[in-house]
Amino acid sequence: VNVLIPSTLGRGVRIAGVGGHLPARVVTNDDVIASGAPLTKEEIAKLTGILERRHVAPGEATTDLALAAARRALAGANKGPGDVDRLVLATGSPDYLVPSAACVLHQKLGLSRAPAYDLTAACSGFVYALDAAARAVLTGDRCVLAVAADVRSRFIDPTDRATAALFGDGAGAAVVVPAAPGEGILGLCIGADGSGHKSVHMPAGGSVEPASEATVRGRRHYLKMADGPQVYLSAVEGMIETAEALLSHMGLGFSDLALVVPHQANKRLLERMTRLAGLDPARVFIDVERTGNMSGASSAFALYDALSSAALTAGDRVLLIAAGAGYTAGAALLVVDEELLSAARSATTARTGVEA
Amino acid sequence: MNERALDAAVDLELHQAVRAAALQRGIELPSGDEEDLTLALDSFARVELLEAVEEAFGVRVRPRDATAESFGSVAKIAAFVRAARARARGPAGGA
Repeated sequence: VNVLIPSTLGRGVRIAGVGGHLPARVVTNDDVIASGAPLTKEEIAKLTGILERRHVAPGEATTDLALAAARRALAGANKGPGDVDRLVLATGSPDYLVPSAACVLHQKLGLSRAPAYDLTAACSGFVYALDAAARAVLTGDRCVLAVAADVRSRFIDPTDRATAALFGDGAGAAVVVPAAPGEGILGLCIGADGSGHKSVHMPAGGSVEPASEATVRGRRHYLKMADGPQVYLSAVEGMIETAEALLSHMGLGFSDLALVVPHQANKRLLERMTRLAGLDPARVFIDVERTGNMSGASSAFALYDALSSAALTAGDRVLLIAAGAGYTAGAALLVVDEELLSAARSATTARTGVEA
Repeated sequence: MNERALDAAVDLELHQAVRAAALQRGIELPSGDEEDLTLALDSFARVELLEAVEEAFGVRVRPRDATAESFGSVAKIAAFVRAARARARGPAGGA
C-alpha cells in the first residue's frame, strides 16, 4: 500500500466542501423482484440489508448525477467553476468509453481549461480520487474537484441473483484545497491486488471482448460476480488491512476515531467488518439500506451524508475506508473542522433527489 | 487406537459438526462429504456457511481459506477447521 501523510511534507490539505446526489427514482425490493430477480423480499433484506436504492431515469447518465453533487460541493466551499484547477472523476460507468466522463462533466460545469480525467478504481474510486486531489494540491493546485459517480443500474442483469438487488446509482464530490499542516486530510492510504481482477468484472465491451451481437446475447456486458464469498471476504479484509496500515503509520487506533465511514457495499458485509475490526457499531456510518451499493460513489455520498447528518463536532477524526473490484482498497483519515461541517449541512436536499 | 484412526474419528466428528452448524442456519448440504459445494450452493448460501463455520468453531475464514480447494466440500471444511484449531493451539501442540 501507498501512504501519504501531508504534514510530513510540511503542508496540509483539507476538504472545503462536500456534495451528494441521488436520482429521484426509488427502486424498492418489490420492484427488483418484479424486474426478474430470483430472490424473495426476505432474502434481499437478510442477505444485503438493502431496503431500497435509486436508479436513473431514461436519458439520465453518470455525469448528470456527478454534476449535481459537484455543484453542491463547490457551493459549500464557496468556489465557482473558474476556481477549479483540476477535475478528477472516479467512475466505473462513464457516459461513453471515449471520451472521459470528466470531459463531459467539465463542459456541464462550465470549467475553464482545467485538466479533467477519469480514474477507475471500482468501489475504492472516491478514496483514489481524494489521493489524486491531495497530491495535486500538495504540488501546487489551489482547488481540486474530486468526484465519484456511478450508474451501475445500466450494467446489472436484473435476473442475476448475485447482483440484481445490490446496486444503486448516485454521486458524491469533495472540493480539496490547501490547508495548514495537521488540518483536514491527515493521511491517505491506497493499494491494489490485481490477482482479484476477475472477481467482479464486466467481460465484454472492452478490448478483450468488444461488444457484439454474441456478447449481448450472452449477457456478457453485465457485471459478473462469479465467486461471491471471495469478494465478500476480500472486501472486508481489504478495508480492515488498509485502515490498520494507515492508522498504525500515524500511531493511531480505531478507538481514536469519532466515526468510520465505509464504502456501503451491503449491510451484512459492513456488520462483519465492524465485528472483525472490533469497532463500536454506533461509530460506523451506514446508509446502504436506502442507497444500495453505488460502487465508487458510495463512500463519497456516505461522507457527505455523514458530515451533514451525523453528530460530529470540530476536531473529530473521521476515517473513510473502501475496498472493491480489482482488488483495490483505500483509507483516508480526516479531522473535521467547523467550516466543513457547516458547508456539508448547508446542502441537505440530496435526500429528496430534488435539485437544489 | 492408532494416530491415523484417531484423526479419521476426529474428522468424522468434524464432518458432523460442520453439517450441524450449516443446518442451524437452514443450509442444506449435499449428502456426500466430498461433494462439490460450489455446485450445490449459491454464493449467498456459501457466505452463510462460512460464517456458520466461524461461529461454531471460533475460527476466522480469510479469503485464501474460502477457495474451492480449501472450502469446497464438507471434508475440506473439516480439514480447514482441524488445521485452524491446530494453528490456534500453537506449534507446541497441547490439549
